Amino acid sequence: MSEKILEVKNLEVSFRTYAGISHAVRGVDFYLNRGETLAIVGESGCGKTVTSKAIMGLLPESNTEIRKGEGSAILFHGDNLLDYNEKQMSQIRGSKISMIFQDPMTSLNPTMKIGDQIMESILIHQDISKAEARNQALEMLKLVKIPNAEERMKQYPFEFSGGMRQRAMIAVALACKPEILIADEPTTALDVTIQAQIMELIGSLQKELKMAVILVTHDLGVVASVADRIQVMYAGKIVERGVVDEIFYKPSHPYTRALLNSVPKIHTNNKETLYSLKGTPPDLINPPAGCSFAPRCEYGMMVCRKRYPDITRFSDSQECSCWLYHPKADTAGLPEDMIRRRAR
Amino acid sequence: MLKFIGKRIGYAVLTLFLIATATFFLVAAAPGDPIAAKVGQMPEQAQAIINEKYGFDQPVTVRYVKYMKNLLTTGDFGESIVYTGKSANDIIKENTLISAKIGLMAIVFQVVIGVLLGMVSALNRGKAVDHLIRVLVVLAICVPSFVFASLLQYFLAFKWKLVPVFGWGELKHYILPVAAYAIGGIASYTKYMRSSTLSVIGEDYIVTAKAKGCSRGRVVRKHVLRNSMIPIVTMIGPALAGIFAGSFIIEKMFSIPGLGFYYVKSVSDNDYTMVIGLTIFFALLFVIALIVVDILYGIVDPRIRVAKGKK
Ligand SMILES: Nc1ncnc2c1ncn2[C@@H]1O[C@H](COP(=O)(O)OP(=O)(O)O)[C@@H](O)[C@H]1O
Ligand code: SF4
Ligand SMILES: [Mg+2]
Repeated sequence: MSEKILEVKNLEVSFRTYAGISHAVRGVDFYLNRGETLAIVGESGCGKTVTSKAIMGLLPESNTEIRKGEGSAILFHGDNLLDYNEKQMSQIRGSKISMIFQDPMTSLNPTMKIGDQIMESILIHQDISKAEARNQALEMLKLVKIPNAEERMKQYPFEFSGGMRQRAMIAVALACKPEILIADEPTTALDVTIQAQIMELIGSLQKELKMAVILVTHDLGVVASVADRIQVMYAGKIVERGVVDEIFYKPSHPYTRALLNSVPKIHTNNKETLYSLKGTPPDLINPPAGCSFAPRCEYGMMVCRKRYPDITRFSDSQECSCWLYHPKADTAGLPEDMIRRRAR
Repeated sequence: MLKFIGKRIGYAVLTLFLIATATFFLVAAAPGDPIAAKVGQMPEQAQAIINEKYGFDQPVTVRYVKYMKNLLTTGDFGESIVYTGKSANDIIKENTLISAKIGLMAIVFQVVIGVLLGMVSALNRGKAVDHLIRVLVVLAICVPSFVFASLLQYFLAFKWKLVPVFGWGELKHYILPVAAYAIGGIASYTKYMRSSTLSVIGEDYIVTAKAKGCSRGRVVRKHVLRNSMIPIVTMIGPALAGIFAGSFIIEKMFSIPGLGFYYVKSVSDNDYTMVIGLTIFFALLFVIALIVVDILYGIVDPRIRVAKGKK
């Protein structure tokens, strides 16, 4: 029943900067099934936004290099989006694949009425009259639960609160009922109380419109209740992936474990036990030869700094890139559960 | 909005009053004698009569009260000292239109061409067109307008005989002065439009527009243009107000009988009534223009419109 609608193969994105070539995304593979929610999680700067924008074809042409050919592709229903020209991409954007962004305060055009901003994507992609488009836009506003939708249509973004703006952004993105919604940190800029409401909204709309969601976030806590699968990204690579339970209950990669430890747990009101990840991600202009997490890893070995670890599969869905799961790895000092997972 | 405009008008009236007062006393304190400049040597008796006519025999404060009273009740700026029999009002009436026409035409060209060039430059950032436009802008800003005027006169009129050098009345006579007037402004509008467009292009909502599926052209038309015009609209106001100031030199160079021409002349002639009258008139235009700009600004930028409406 699961049908792959999107497949990203060996995505490599680099930027020409004054300091040199920055390798932001270094060979990312994943797929997305119809109707599912895939979460991409990782610290800020690990390449989540770049991956998302690469799918949308929204990276700045002037300094971006995306590897093409030889196994590199972004397949949407089997068609390689990397081969699409600007015109073909603009027909996909907003109609088949939509994206919402982190900061609702700056993501809406300040001089255009909310209603017009929603109508715009409808009018671009559908051959219908303005009046019909207006009706559809109004329906969208109601769908994202904005009160007084009729009146709100005529208002400008600055008359909306942050949460309402993000709802409006969602209405803009979903106006044409896309198959895929890419939500790039949709709640990061919002108040905690509103975060939950927005996540709930995205979840319910997803069911209603039967779309797949790529949920991008730096906060594992956000994805627990909504995601089907999670992939953990570090320094432009995916280091671990699995279904939600696997990531939360059987985390394998030291980085995933560190991320999980830094998520506040509901039952511990003791804030001191909250673990915070030390150090910073590596320089992407001269990425390390071996495992990019090595400088921060508490289990790091000699080999880690020399060669990139192979993938170890734990189940149909879970896999991880870490030398600790190599048969020859030194297991002294490893936590119980990790040793058990090695033995399996 | 109405309340806001009312408040602005109140301030404008106060500003005008202060300007009128300051000008009156400054001009009165300025060295030089208008009567002497006009008639040179004349019998004491005759001088006394003229002095009395213009009130120069009285202390400046008395003259000021009398002048303001007359101005407020009749709107009369008083009789010109040099052009006997004509009031400053007459001269304003007869000559404003010419200056206004030149100035307005120039501003229209400045804004339209400046906005276009600025956009082209920004949208092609780093390419040859952009470099070319930027070099021309620097040139046009550095070189004073009278140099352009001379160059235009020399090439277009004298050498290639495309347009007449002097003369006044027909449309073709406007070409040279308007062009000479407009060039500097075109350059500054281009410069501001370029930087404002560049900053708008970098905004998040432009990415949103692309993510919706807007074509490049549509992004520019519907999302970039309006937002990058906002700072330009704020510049149009002072420019409208400065219409006359800008045409002083041009009018003098091309011997155009506009208001600027008379203003410059009345200063050198020490024609008190004219200087004071014209200054108040220019100030009046200036404050009106500023109010118009506020309204325009509100039309372009809804944030201001609604915020003001709610006050
Ligand atoms: N247009 C760009 N030019 C140069 N570097 C960029 C550009 N966009 C992103 N980067 C770099 O790519 C890396 C990944 O960024 P990003 O995908 O935004 O991270 P995040 O995971 O926080 O979304 C960062 O080091 C960032 O500085
Ligand atoms: S490969 Fe080595 S450095 Fe990298 S996460 Fe595993 S143990 Fe740590
Ligand atoms: Mg990001």
